[in-house]
Amino acid sequence: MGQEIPRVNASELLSSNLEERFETVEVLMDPNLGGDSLNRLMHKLFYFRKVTLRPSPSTLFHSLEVAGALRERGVPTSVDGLPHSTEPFLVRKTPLTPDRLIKRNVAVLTGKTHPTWNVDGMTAISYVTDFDWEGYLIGRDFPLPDPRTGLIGAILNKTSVVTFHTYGEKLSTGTLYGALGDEEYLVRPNRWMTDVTVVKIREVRGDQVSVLSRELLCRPLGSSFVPLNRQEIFNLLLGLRMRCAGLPPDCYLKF
Amino acid sequence: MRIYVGGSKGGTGKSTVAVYLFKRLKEMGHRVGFRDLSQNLIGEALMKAMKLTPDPDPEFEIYDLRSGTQLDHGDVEILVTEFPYLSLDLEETNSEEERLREEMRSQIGETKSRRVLVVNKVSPVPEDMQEQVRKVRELAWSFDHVVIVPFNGNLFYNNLEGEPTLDVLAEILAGKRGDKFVYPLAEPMHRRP
Repeated sequence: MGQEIPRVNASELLSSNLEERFETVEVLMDPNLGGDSLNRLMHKLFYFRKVTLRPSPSTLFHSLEVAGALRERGVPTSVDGLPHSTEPFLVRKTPLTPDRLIKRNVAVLTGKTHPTWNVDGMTAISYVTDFDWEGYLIGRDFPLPDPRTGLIGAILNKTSVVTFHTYGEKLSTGTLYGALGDEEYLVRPNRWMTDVTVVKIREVRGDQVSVLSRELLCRPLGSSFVPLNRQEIFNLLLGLRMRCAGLPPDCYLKF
Repeated sequence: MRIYVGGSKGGTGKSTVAVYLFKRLKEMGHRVGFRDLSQNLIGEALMKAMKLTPDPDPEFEIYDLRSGTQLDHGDVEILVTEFPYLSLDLEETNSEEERLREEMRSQIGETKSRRVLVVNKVSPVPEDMQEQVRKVRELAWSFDHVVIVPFNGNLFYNNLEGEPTLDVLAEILAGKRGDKFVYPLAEPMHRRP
């Protein structure tokens, strides 16, 4: 194993065999990732013991998705030099049955998916292809077919979502699908639906919503978030028996 | 080992923490006793509801103390508090008299109790959590271990599972680790893949 940490473009990493020679890698998330390359990149990165992702302004979405999936697989990951962290494996002991909570069948529309648009098997959710499916359909009644944010939407009756795309040194920006009312925070759960990360909305310009990059990137769990107000965060934690562990300690101590 | 769990006011989750530790230490294979000395007997009711029974001849005896009882002479003393009461609760602990008392105890060779602070129900809102973590680190210097427990819907409904910070505290009590600070994003040893 080599001592130096290789620094490569994501698209170059795909055709290399660096994972056979190095334990750690620094990946420049270049904009040339298309098609199924994001999944291929992620599967390559699973082989490393430690990963640092460097987003470019236009690759924030991919960086958040890859970092979230790696962290949930137990690979210590850092985005943009922030502390490396993994997501604790906090699996539900009792199944989460959204159908019972909202007294409607809840399903996710199959089709477009991303590395963190998934939930653990303890969350009882169906996947359907029928757009006219009766019941609450995540991807039709909620803007994105992402089961994690969609479940929050179903339970709290929310129909808006923010998806991040542009990285900036201080602020990062996402597009709002739907409308904002008195929501001040953006929330995204882990794949086990047991814990959430919360970031504060700092700026809204039309459908563009900005948050502090440090807050967004210190504990990446994916790219899409549901806007909630303070009371709704508590309602979510109580309703789904979840917790909110905030950021890794180094993020509090260093900044 | 006698473990005293106390707090200055009701509603901080003292009994929840006491019963959680009982359950977790049992799951870890230890013999554990439990004595509810509180005024409302919530701990005992929780034990009954969860069908938990204390073991005879325990390695760990957990005492759920009456709110406001002076924590003293346990092998481990766990103070459970929450915001905004933290500063008030730590006023006495951090006082000059308490420091002198501790000094005197060590001079006469009295075994010092291990002292644990559990700050329960830390806010999920990022700006509050950042401030609360900062405050805990600033004020809790005199404790051997400090456990920062985030707001948890499971614990709120007395569903005593899924709180990694308290799992870590059980591991500390069992001598498996020695973290000074246990942060909300902690990972217990048994859950590591």
